[in-house]
Amino acid sequence: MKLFLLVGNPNVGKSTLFNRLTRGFEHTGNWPGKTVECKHGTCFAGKEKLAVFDLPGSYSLTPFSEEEQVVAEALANSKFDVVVQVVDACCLERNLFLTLELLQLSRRLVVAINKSDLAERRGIRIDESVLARRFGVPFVKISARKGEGIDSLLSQIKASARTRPARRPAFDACMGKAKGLECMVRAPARKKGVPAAWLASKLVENGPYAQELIEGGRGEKRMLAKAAKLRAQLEKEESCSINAVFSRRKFAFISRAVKKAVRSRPACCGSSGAADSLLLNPLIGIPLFLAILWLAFQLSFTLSGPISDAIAQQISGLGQHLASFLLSAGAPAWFASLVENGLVAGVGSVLVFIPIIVLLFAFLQALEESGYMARVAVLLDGMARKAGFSGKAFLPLILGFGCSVPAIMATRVLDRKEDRLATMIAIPFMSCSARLPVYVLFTGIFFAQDQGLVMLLLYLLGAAAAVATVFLLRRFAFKGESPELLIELPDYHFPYWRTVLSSALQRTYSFVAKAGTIILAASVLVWFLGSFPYGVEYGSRESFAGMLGSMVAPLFAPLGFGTWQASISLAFGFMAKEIVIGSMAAAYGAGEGGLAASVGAAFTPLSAFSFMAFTLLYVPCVAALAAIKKECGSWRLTAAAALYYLSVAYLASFVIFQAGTALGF
Amino acid sequence: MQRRLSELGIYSGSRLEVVRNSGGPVIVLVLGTRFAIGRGQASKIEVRQ
Repeated sequence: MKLFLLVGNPNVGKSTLFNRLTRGFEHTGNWPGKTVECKHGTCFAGKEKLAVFDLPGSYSLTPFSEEEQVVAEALANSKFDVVVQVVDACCLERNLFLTLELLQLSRRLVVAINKSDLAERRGIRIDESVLARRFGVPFVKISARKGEGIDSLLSQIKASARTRPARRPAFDACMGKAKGLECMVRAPARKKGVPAAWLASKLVENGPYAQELIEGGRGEKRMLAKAAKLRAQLEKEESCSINAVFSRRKFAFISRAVKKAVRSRPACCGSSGAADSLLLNPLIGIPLFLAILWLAFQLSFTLSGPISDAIAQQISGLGQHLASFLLSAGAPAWFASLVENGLVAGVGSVLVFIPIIVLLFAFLQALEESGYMARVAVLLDGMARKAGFSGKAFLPLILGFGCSVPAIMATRVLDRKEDRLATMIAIPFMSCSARLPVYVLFTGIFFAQDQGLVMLLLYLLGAAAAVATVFLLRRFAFKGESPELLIELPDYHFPYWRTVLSSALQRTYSFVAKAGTIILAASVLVWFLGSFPYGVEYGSRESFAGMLGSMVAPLFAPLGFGTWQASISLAFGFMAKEIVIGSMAAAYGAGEGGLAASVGAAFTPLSAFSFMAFTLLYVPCVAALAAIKKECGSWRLTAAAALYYLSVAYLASFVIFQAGTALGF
Repeated sequence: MQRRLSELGIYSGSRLEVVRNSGGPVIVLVLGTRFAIGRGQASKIEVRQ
């Protein structure tokens, strides 16, 4: 099967084209050892099946972010037949810069001019044959949204995969001066499978990736010296830095080509200026941003609530049916219980997450697609910078108020690995919706007068812990300055439902597939602890869980809640915070209704607050830990994070209870 | 950073339009695209009218 790669600048509609080509059937995964997402799928050109990889958006092949590193490495190392670059018809000049970079690396290139319908409406007329002649590769006009030109693009891909490409690129930034160096690097270039001309020019440009390629090889010093000499010569000739020399030459070449190929009314693209002057004004922009977030949360929760409830009900009904069926079929009681309380309840705890995750992801994607998220990053950059992280990190943190799992996955919007890891680990401190039932029960009993205030206090405590965590991690563990903000502000446009939906479903699927198995295993473990030794009542004091609860209870005594019932509900809450209250009810042998009386007798207002703070701060839930593991790819880091949550929770509750007791509450 | 800016079309001798410069990141229009650049970085770019 022929394989082609999709590359392009950010915001050119690459994902839309990918979606159109694969008809929404795609596989998402991380690049090996990277936190960068990669998508692949298959499409049909006539009867022929083609494999397509969607690489992250990038401006050039000199890696600047982890995403671009992935693109550069994929182009240098992987076995592909054709590279397809998607360019935006409205911003040809900028996009063609990457074309020149790609041409140096591979001449099996097809350029797809996307949004050509939009460009035509704006009076931009492009003659693709002129571009094809100048650049020496085929250009095809398409509109990914409307599905125009896709067939000719596919047949061009097929044709390019068959023919031999031209040997020399149309453009040489060194203008023939690097020929000598090119001969020198021929051997290492062949070994690494990259064109010698590309390697030579990148060495002159002082690219770190190119230097890695020749590192340790024979004649490395000589090559570097030669490259440095050429660089100095070029810099002296044009009296500016080598980057400026290369960019100037490339943009000059592009500009000449575009002048010949494009006729347009002299107007700039888009008209987002007026909206920006409003949205980027902090006095208007920040309240508006909070309002939009509130709306997104409210809508997600309101819309998903009934569906989640219905799913939960169906699941528990199904569990009971299955159990009684198994019993009537003669299965042993323990097996029926495993199916009902372990497997079905475990799968259920994943399934009830799905509606909220799909909706939150869809809202997030829609905001991202519309171009609004880039503005938010600009808006919050100043505040974030003071705390030592990038403006973009606010977004995943705030999502954490809804559910940690999509929030952790949303850290992918951050460019720097250090930012990503620090934010990811801080997110579980943001009080997610699953903690709410605990707050509702306890504040209802002990703080009926100031219920709202106490809840707000808890939310603020969580947010403060999260911000402090990012600050400390960036300071001591994941060091390195976050780079200054540099972000494209794409024109506002209405999000395309196809991309929004497919991205939301895709991410949900990958969550269920990966995190689901871990949750399932944990629920079976909890079931085992709750129902053995054989014959005890589920979740009672005589069960392993009960014994465990009694064993660790003394540990919690200094925090004010050293009862085995509290300990066991916290232990169960490790699986999911939603079940803290349920398992507490089981432990007190009370229905959820009678629970208030038992809790009222067992806790004081102070110990209740301490318990709530502990619930807020300790290990989020198996799903969140699974998401962290999935995103950071390291068990050690995940375990360290879990330990960190436990210590913070313990310390905070200890201080609250001891200080409160000393102050006489 | 300088390399990245030059790849986006901001290099010595290139043309750009300052769209917004009122506290916070500076927004410039270059080759038909708007970019927000952190204030610290933006202050290192010399612009002549």
